[in-house]
Amino acid sequence: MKSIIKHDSSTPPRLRTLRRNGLARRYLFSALLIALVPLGLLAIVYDTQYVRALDKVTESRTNARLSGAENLLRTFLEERIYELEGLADIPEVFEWLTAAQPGDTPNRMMLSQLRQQLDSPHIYGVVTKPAQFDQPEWYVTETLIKDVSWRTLPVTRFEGAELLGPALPTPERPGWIILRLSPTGFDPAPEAWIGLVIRLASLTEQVQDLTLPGLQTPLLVPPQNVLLTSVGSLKPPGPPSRKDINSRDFIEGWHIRLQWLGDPLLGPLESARFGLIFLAIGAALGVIFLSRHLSKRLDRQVTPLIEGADRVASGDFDTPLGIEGTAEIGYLSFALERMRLRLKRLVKSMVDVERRAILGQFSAGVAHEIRNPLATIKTTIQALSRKESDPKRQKLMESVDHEIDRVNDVVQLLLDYARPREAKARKVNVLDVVETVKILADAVAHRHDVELIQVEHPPVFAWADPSQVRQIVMNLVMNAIQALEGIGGKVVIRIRQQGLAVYVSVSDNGPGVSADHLSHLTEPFFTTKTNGTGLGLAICKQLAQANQGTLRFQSIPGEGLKVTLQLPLYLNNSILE
Amino acid sequence: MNRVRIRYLYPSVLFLSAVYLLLLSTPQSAAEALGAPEEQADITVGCLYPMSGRAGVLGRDSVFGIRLALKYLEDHASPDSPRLRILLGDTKSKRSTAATLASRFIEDEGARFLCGVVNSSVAIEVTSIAKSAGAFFIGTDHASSRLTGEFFHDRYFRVTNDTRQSMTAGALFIKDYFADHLAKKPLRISYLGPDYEYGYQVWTDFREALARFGVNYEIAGVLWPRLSEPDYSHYINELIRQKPDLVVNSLWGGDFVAFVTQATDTQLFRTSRFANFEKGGDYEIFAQLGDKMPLGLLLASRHHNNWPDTEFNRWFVDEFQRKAGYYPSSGAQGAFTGIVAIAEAVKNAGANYKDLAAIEQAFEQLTLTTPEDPAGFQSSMDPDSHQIRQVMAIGETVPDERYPPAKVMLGNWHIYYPSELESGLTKTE
Repeated sequence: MKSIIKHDSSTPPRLRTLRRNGLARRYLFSALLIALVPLGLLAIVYDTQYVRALDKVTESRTNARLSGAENLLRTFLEERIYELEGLADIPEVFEWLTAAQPGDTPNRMMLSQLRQQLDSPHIYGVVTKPAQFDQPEWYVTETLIKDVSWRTLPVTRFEGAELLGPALPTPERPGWIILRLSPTGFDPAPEAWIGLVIRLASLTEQVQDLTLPGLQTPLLVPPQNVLLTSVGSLKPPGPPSRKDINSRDFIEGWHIRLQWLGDPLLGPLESARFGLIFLAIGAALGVIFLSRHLSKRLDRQVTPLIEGADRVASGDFDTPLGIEGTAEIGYLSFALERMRLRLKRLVKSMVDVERRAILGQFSAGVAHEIRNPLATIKTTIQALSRKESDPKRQKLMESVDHEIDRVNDVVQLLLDYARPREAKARKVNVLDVVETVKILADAVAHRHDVELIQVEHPPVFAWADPSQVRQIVMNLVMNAIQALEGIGGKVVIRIRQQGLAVYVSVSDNGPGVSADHLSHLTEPFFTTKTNGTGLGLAICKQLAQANQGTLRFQSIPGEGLKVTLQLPLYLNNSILE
Repeated sequence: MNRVRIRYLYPSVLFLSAVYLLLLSTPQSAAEALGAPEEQADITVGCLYPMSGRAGVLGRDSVFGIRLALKYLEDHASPDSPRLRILLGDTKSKRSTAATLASRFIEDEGARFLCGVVNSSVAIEVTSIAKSAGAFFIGTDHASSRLTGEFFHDRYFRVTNDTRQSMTAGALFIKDYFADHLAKKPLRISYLGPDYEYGYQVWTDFREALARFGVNYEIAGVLWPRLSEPDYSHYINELIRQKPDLVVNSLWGGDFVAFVTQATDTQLFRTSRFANFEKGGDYEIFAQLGDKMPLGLLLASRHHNNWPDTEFNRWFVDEFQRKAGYYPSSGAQGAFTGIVAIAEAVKNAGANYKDLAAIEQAFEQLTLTTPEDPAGFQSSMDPDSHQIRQVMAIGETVPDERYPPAKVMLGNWHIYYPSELESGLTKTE
């Protein structure tokens, strides 16, 4: 897993420890624990219960139920033997079986007795074989015995009687069995016997209770080793299942088979079982994937923050942090960025204050030391000038006088910057101020081939020191004209009122200022002009701040510079002088 | 004191109860007779029907049918009409009881005619007794074609459709109804019939008819529930497992009601078409099942209350309803036709009611209008097989509340005349 903290071989051991104990890694292990332990327990419990339920259904009571079914089958046949014994004991029947000669026909009384037997729902008919007959006499519908040779039917002994068959069912007719008995008891090779033709389905239906729908079906397996369903039809042989259960022979050669169906009912259960296992594996993979995804995302979002914080710590307040991230990380990025900007302003402000304090002390000293000699020099020059007749020298003295004024102005500027005059705010008609400045600057502008335009606006009032406002506006206009010196152009002054502020903007279409220079324009002694002092805009900014206002610079290199002065709007209730 | 008296009375009550039960168990033939009194009767007819159990409704309706026939004969009596005396016997659907009653009617009551019998196995017993006694046996409800084939004798005549006719109509119906399916692949058929003579014969006749008309089919399975089977669920499950295109069923009466009632709660009727061309369309089925009778089953019977729409059939159905208080099942029409046929044949034979050969010949030449004959058609006896030739009608169950309590009757009829049923049939001597 990638750490959210990048480091190299020089990374301190503490950071390596942090990497090992990273939030994403902890989250991964916790999530795996929380998700998989209950799921695993559930799977184990389900699997155990499933197997137990299956065992209960398929095995626990099977033996008892099989024994019950075997008893039912035997009882069914015993009841038929009992009926058969009753029939064989009838004198007419006994006489028919033992004394009838070939060609004889049974008398009415005997036929009546046989008919009584046919009313049973389990009996298709009766068959008799008198001792002297080669073939038995059938009292049964011919459809049933068509194409069946009774001599080929398997013979099974059962409780003193014999079971012939079954004659297996065909598409034309149902199956049947013969239960036969010798009139004097069972004889291994009976010459005379009477038999009941029993409905095979009546025998097979005795195992119906073993049916478990969709799970197990009971089948009867006769000596022919075919499969008979509980409704007496033949079941096509299919592949045996190891879950099939065979009973012991309830009669020799006959047994019950419980055929396992499995699929219809257990298919969904098995699917659910495997589904649960796949779900557990899927959940684990899902958690791992999610954790990796979160880890990478955290890494992507937190790393720039850490790097940014490092830069700030090393004193770089200018490079933005690059705000990125969602939710908490987003808020954190935003807060750190605000912190950087505030720190930047704070440091700048502290430097500015410090610089101004030093400059103030310096200026005061310089002014004191320069102004007095300058005054003396100026007075001397002026005195000498009055007496000087040589025009050349007169001109030189005027230049010296002029330069002394200029030095004095610079000193005054220094003093103004170091010890700014306190602003005395009152209602200022900004339009008047601008118009006055325009009138004064028009001549200079005209000289420099610059068109000075004032955009019309109704009177608007600010709450500020009128002379300081005029100084600021004049300075801005003169700067703009100077920017167009030698190239000509257009300077536009606009007044605007918005919200609780008055704006005065001065824009020119000169060469403009590069982005690098833009942020330094108000720093003292920063100038782009060859003969500028670098104090004009610094003082303007100072004056603007003194009047609760701001100065804002916008420039596109090659298209000009726009400086906007913002001043508080004069309100009726804002007279706090 | 009361206790003492009851203790003394107890043996007497027991004795009287035993006597009463003994009287009740006496065959009804001894107690119930219809028509002319014994001394005035020209002909005595012993009629054998089940009056109890699942098939009991057919026997009871048959008795109403016989009463209607006697009234019909009385209304249309001519001077040479024979006077009939009808004896009624409850066979209880048992071969032994039926055989005993048949012998008693012939030997003790002088009956020269036997009639009725619903169960084909019972009918085989009765026809052998009639044959050996030289009596006529007029079949009115049983249908196994073996009675006009293997067990045929000169004095057996059947006045209702047999299994061969109804299953031939069924085969023709399948050829027509499933024509689109048969053009593509064989029709998978499962058969479920009662496990006795009738069920076997229906299946045999059906397969013969399918073969005769060249219907391409496969056997998906064959099931044989016993008569009066109490639970068909294993058979229904087996039919569902076999997934046939068509289930052909030949249960009848209460058995068919029980089967349909159980099958309605399963998917059988949704997964396969279901047909019963023998007795499944009997009114008693619709009356018993009411609104539980599924729609779209393909059924037929030997008489329909709502077909044909002739004056005679309407008279028969309405008159039966007026007398009995409910609408007739097909057994009533069979019994009605049986009695009218006996009277008609005897009348046609001339005045000598003892000339059995003349009566036999008259039966062979018999033509008769029955309630189930459509307009312009008359039932006629086939002199070779002694089987009446009638029109077969097969329909689908559709909503119809004209015959309450039934909510469903047959509609969308497919009608087959005897000439169609016998096409392709080669008669064997």
